[in-house]
Amino acid sequence: MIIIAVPLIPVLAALVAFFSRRLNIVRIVSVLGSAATLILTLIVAQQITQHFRITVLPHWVGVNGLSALILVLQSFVAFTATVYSWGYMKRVTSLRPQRQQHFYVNLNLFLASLFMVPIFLQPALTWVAVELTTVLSVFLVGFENTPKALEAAWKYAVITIMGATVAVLGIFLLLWGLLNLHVSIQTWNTLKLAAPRIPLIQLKLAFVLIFIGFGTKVGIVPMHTWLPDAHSQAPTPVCALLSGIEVSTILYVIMRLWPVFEQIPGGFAQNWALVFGLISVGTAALLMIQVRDFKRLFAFSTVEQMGILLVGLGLGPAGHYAMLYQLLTHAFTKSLVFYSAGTAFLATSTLDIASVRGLIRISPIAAGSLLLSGLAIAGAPPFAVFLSELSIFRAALISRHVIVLALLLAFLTLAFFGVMRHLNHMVFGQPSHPPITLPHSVVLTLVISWIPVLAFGLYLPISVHHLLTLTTLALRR
Amino acid sequence: MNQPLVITDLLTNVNSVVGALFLLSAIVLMTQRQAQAVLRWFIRQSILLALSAFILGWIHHSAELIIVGLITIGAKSIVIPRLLTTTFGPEIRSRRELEFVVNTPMSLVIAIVLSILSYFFVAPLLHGANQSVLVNLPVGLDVLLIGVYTLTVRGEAIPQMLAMMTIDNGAFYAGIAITTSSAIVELAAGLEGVMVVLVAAILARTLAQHIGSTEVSELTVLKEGEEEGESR
Amino acid sequence: MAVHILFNLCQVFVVLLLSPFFQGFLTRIEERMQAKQGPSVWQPYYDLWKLFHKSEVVSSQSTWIFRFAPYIYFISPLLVTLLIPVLTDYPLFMAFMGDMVAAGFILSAGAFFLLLAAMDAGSVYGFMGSSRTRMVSSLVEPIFIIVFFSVSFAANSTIPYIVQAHWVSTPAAFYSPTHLLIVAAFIMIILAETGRIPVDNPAGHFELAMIDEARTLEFSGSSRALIKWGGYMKFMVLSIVLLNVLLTPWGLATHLSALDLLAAILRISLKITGFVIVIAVIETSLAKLRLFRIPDFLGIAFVTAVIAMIVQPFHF
Repeated sequence: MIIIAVPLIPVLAALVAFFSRRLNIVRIVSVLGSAATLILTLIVAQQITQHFRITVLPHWVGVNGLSALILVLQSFVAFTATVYSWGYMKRVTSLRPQRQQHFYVNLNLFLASLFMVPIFLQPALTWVAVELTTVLSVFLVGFENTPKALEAAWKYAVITIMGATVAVLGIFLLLWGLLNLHVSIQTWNTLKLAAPRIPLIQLKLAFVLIFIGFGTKVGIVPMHTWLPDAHSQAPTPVCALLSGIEVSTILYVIMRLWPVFEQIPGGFAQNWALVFGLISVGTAALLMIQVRDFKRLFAFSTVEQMGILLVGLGLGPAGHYAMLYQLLTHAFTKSLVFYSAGTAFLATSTLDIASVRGLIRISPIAAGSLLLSGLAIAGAPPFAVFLSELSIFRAALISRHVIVLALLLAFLTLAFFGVMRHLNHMVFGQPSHPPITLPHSVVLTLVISWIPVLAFGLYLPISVHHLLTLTTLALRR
Repeated sequence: MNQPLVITDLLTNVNSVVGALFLLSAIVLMTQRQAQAVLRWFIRQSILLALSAFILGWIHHSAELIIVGLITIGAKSIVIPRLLTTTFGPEIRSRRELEFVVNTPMSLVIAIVLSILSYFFVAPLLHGANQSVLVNLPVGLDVLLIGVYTLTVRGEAIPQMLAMMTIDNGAFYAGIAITTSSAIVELAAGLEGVMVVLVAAILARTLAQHIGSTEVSELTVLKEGEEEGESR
Repeated sequence: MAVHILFNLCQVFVVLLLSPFFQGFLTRIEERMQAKQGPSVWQPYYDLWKLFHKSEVVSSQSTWIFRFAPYIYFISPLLVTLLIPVLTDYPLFMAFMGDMVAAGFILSAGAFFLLLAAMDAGSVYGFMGSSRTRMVSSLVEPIFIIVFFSVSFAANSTIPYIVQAHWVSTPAAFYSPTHLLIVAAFIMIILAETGRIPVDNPAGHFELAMIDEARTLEFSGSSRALIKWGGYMKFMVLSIVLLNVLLTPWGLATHLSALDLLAAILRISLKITGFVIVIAVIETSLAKLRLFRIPDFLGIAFVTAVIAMIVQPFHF
């Protein structure tokens, strides 16, 4: 029952935000709502480690390890994002209170649609939820109503909806396979069981359509063009949600179908994942060097991270654990990075890297957090991403993908220098703007977000390890 | 041969004709140079999709498919065009020629290549499939691919939106034939299509308002500016 | 055998004598649709009569091509008439002398000579018309070929009589997407080949905008009459190919009797009348395309024909 409550709470919060007259009530309700979902999803995760899978409505709603992991990550980022919005939206906006209220309505609805993705047991329903995430986040991306933001929103809507529509044909093809076998229950599980009896070419075609379709929304390279725009033009809390968790949520759909596609002989699906993963990592690493806008820089870093995740997926069973670990660390770190970038924006009111100097004198907290989180996302040692990337390298070595390993190392080094070069320019030097103090809620968010990044960089709690291991089972055939 | 069987046979045949017209409409839509013409062809295409849904609904005794057809007619051939003409009346009625990134003969050649590809891909799936799948699956995939192509070469909001819907039409055209029993999903997705266009239309209108002119072609200018800025 | 030859000649005379009527009918209907009075249905006959009684002016610079081209242009549709099922659904004497490809070649041979003749006279408009017709027909020809390919895929033959029998063999064949797409492509070809409205305006009198007409400006007297008549027949022959071979292969004479043949003439006339009305609707509802948009129009026809061919192997 808890699971159904998870997407309902943001819906209620959205209703309150819609009808409430006082902005503070709206804020409090949003924060409380997301805190409640965080607690609920943690309970779900706890139960999952004992029961392996929970079904609420048979064949309709239920979770397994993988969806529980995604839910926890979603609700964590949702919680930090709502806290962050409190001070950030107040500060950034010359926005009228009414616009802020719209923001909260949209934000909560978007959160609800995000929570809906992992809880359905039918691929087709999941597709509907994915489409909803796009539809409900379009106005968040274009929230600032500047020509740039609107253009980003337009690209985001058109390209990702196109992707989803391509994917739906793939899903139809899979369902057709079930229909031909006279299976009337169309869940992930029945698909997994029926896969060996679906004609090979049909599976392949469905895979390509689904991979390209959802891959568009994940930001895999040839289809990534919308991502840097949308993930940099949206208000910062939304950026954190989009980059930190939305892309992973869409990747979840591909992962959920992975046991089906892994049964295509000859490593067909794995090779696609490896090739597109490496292309994404490489392209993003190269583009990161010449980027001029620091939110865009981190948006490209998302493309790069998604590439790494795909490589992990393509490495086969050896890579699955590492890949899920990477998914976890990426959600925490990327949201943190965007919160830090948002503080830098608050301090300087520009996104242009070249015109920001000496951030450390303008706002030490913003500068420190930005620099360290930049190091963290680039994969520097004491932080969480370092460990997860290391485990991916290890998996590559174990599964004897030496060329993949070499390329990955080269691209990641390149990306590391790309990030550092820009951050170095921004943080040190003569200050370009007068000093400011940051809103309390923003600082609080930074503190909360730093906890998992540091903690998981030092050690992995046994319960999390347990959850991740359970999750890898979901990826097995 | 009893009476219903004859009717079913005839309907299957009519469905084939509808399939041909559906494909043709996607190609013509791709080449149209005026917004109003694009819209008209889109309406025709949606009616053909609905027609196919009705026919298949009759053949398979599936009430859901008929409802899907009704939704399609209502949403895609009435609501969406109405919505677009009320929000973008002047742009749609103006006789301005729309810009293409690729010229028409090249586009047509690409359309041929896409058709060959889609038939090539689905050919192995069609052994022993019934007549309606035989028509709908490849045609649907082909229209989907042509729609994707149209979307990428069109630089303006209205044709892009309609190309998006063409992709949708293509996917559903294949979908109604191959998943005749899972109609709840199709219902949900059909309604979703309406929502998508609503959102896109509102967004495009805001865009037109904030860019300061009603010319939607400003979009392309902006896009190029962005890319230039990035590559520098 | 003798009856076959007789019937074959009968076909020729039907085309020869009826083609001006359909032209007149088309003009009349179009004018009526545009809320105008329009000339009499018999006007083309009067025109031909008048032109045959006028003396002819031939440029002293021109060669024999100029004098012979009208005859070739006049005869080519008549030759085609021998090959196609105009009135009977059973093969006649000349039926197996050539297939649809041959018919296409004969028609374009006539057009080719007219083109040479137009340039031969040395008039500027002749050159312009020739180059434009070349542009259009160089685009139409591949479509023709592809249509014949699709047809031969479907019917395993390009002999018109066999093709015609194929479409009516099963309803599935008649309703197959291939059939419909071939017909659509062929209608577009007819519009382009006979200089109808989206491609060319046959009623236009502005030399710079002409495509087909510009070729005939230098001809006068009986040459002019032959060319006009040839044009009428070309339109009728192409319509007959469309109606009797591709679209509606019904209503032809099935028995070897004169009565049946007469009835067939009536039925065919009705079919062509119907088609002429369709053409009139198309012509009045569309605007003439700019010259450089014509490739777009024909491109669509080409794609249609190609897709008809691609689709074919999946429908039997």
